[in-house]
Amino acid sequence: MAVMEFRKFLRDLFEGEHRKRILSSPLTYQLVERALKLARGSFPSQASYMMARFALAQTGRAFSRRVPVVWTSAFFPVEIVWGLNLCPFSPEVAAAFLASLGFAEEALDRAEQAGYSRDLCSFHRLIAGAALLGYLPPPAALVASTHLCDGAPLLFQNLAAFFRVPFHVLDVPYRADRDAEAYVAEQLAELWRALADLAERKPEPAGLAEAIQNSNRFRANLLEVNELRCRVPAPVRGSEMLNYLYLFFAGQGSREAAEVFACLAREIGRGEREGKKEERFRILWLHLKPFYKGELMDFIENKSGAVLAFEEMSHVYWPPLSPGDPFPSLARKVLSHFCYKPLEARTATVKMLAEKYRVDGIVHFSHWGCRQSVGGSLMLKDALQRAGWPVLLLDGDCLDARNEATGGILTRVQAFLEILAERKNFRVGERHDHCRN
Amino acid sequence: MGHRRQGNPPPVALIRCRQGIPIPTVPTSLKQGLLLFWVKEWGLIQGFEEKRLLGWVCSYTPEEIILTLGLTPCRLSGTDENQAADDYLPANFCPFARACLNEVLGMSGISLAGVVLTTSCQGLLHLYNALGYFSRKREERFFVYLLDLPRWGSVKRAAALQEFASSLRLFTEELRRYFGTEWSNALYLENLARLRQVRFLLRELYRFLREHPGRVRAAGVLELVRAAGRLPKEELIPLLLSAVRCLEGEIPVPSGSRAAGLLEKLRPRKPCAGPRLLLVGSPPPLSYVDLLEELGGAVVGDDFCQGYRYCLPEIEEGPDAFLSLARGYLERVPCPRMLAGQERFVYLSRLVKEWQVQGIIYHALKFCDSSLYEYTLLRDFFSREGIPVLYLETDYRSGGLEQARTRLQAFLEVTG
Repeated sequence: MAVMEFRKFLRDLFEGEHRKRILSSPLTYQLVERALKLARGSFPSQASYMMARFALAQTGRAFSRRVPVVWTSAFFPVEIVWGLNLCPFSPEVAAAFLASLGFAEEALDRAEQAGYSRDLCSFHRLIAGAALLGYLPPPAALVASTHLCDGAPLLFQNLAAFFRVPFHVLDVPYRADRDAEAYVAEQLAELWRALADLAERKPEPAGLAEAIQNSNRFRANLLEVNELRCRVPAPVRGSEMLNYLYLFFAGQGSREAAEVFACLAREIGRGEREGKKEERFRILWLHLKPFYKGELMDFIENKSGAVLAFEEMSHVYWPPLSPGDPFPSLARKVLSHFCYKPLEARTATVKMLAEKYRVDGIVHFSHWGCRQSVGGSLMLKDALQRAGWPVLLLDGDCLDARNEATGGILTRVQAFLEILAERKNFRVGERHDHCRN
Repeated sequence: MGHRRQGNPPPVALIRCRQGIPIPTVPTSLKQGLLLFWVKEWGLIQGFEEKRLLGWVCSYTPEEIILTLGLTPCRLSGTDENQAADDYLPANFCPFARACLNEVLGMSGISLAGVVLTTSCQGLLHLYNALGYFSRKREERFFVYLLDLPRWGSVKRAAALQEFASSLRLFTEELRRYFGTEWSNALYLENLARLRQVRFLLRELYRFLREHPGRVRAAGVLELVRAAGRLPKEELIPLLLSAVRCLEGEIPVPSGSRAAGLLEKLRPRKPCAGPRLLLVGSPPPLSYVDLLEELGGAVVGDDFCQGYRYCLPEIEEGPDAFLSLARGYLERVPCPRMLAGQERFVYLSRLVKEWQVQGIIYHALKFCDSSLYEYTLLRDFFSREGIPVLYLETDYRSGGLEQARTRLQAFLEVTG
């Protein structure tokens, strides 16, 4: 069973009037896991297969109601939840998964009926709709971090009222001095205790230390993958890496997430992951990608000769954590995100990545509704162009296919690639001239 | 401040400014400028001579600090009279942040020495980025500051208080350093008293509005609150006092005076005897408020940061000025961004009862997450209370007024 067939199998399984019952039954995920084993050979790598199994197992666990489920927002330090052996659930990743199966429209429509504006981020609208439709595992609590996204904490507040469960916020200051670190660390400690109370468990520092160690392994393995990705041709495509979103948003602190990237590093190291022989253009990709079935990613990576050499999402921006001092070190991790600083920090990071991965151009996927990423995009583009990098701001939507004008978006990509081609020819010409001189 | 920390880029405006250039002041021979428009409109031109103006936006910005350090707070409320923001902020972004950027970049004839913003939302974070980017490109000395503001509604309150107090201390320190001014406790207490008076008088005006909704123009009250954030308080206080006393019939309107001019602006265009309405959400274009009254709606109050909430902070004279300020501002009714849904709804529900509100108009700015999410909760809450809510969305401009007319008319018919 190939990956595409496996996706079709899932779509067929969830299709129909009993979708809610099927989606919310833990048995479904056991069945899917067995089917997954049959499709094992068709996954692009053992790592991606491991990731799929891990995500399925966790989703089945979330629906089993045997363990309290904690909904966490993107970039929330989920180590806290793993450290208590609770079940973290990332509704943003679930939203991407539902969109990839083609079920976005139903949930988006439901959210709009409930009063959620189409100007809101489609990840969050889709979550709202899917929650109202009963497609997501009911949470015992919701936790959201305020840095990088205004929408998630606000949505979680609404959903906490809907599910009648506690809602906890991690309030993150913009500055990153000692006071700010202490403020975040204190909240994290408080949260850890509150979640333990919720599960009627004694908070065990040893459990948290283990999660921190797993998180450090995740970081180290990802760093290794990132170093190996400097190879030309690119051993892993950016669009594949963006499918590991689950690990970034829900996996840090788990043993499995660390193992997935260890496996990926081994695969690249052993030369099992060969890139395209001919890379016409190497692209640095900013923000996320469309997760629904569309033409954009296929066109870029399979038809245009371009490859996403690296993506902003995979950049390791945080220092190693300290198992003996978990809360301050998690606070430092949260406070160190380069997008939660003056724009120059993001610009500097992007320039560094562009150089490190020897890209020809930079594409910013401007997801409709993402205030954080889109808000600074014009200035980011201007700053990068001044530094000599060709930049394309590509307006689109990660989940809501209704916001995509396929023809227009492909034309824009094509035009951008032509610019890159001209620049490459010019640079080659320049080099020849230089040699002749 | 977020940009003063180890290992991170230093503040844009602070690293690039050329030292030694005099801080801009307002020349006496001003001919144009949006700020001047406001000043002239309210007949207070004298107060702006030779002042160092510091722009501010969010209602959690303590003017007390700005005034104590010898600067004149100048609240930005945005404009769409130019499109200067187009180069910095995308079209599908907070229209209020864009309008404020238009206002600052389009100011001609009047100069701000800087702008202080808060970490309220991504809109203001990127306004901060845009102002920094603009001043760096121009290599101009311009103070751009971002004040950390905790989420009061959702975290442990003692910790949030301490966090905001340290954020205010850092802000004060940075102002002192940049403008070379000193903090004086005596001056602080003086300004505390002034602002207390301003807020009290504005609340009196609001009281008059809800007791006699047809006799004061609601949009005029909102205009006055906006102007209060940018006018010299020592001149504003006697003017407000006269206006309130005239409205109450305690004194006759002194003809040709500033108070007469102000009362003229507050005069309703048409008597309104329709349902009593509360305005909630993001600050609306004032033309919509006028339209509402023109159609007969009796606006009895609002819950806008540029409106009634500006008048609510109660600052005590505690031993630690910054802690008192933090407490005073944070303990005010929270805004939707504070993630204190229930607390807000209890407060709004109290207003509805006490002010005998018959309907709520909820205005959301396009792309404003705080309002767009709050609306769904608020609508459900008040539907249980039996209070009808009308949702209005604008991009902070007067466009779409005619489409809104029909919806407002229908709502007033149902509510009345």
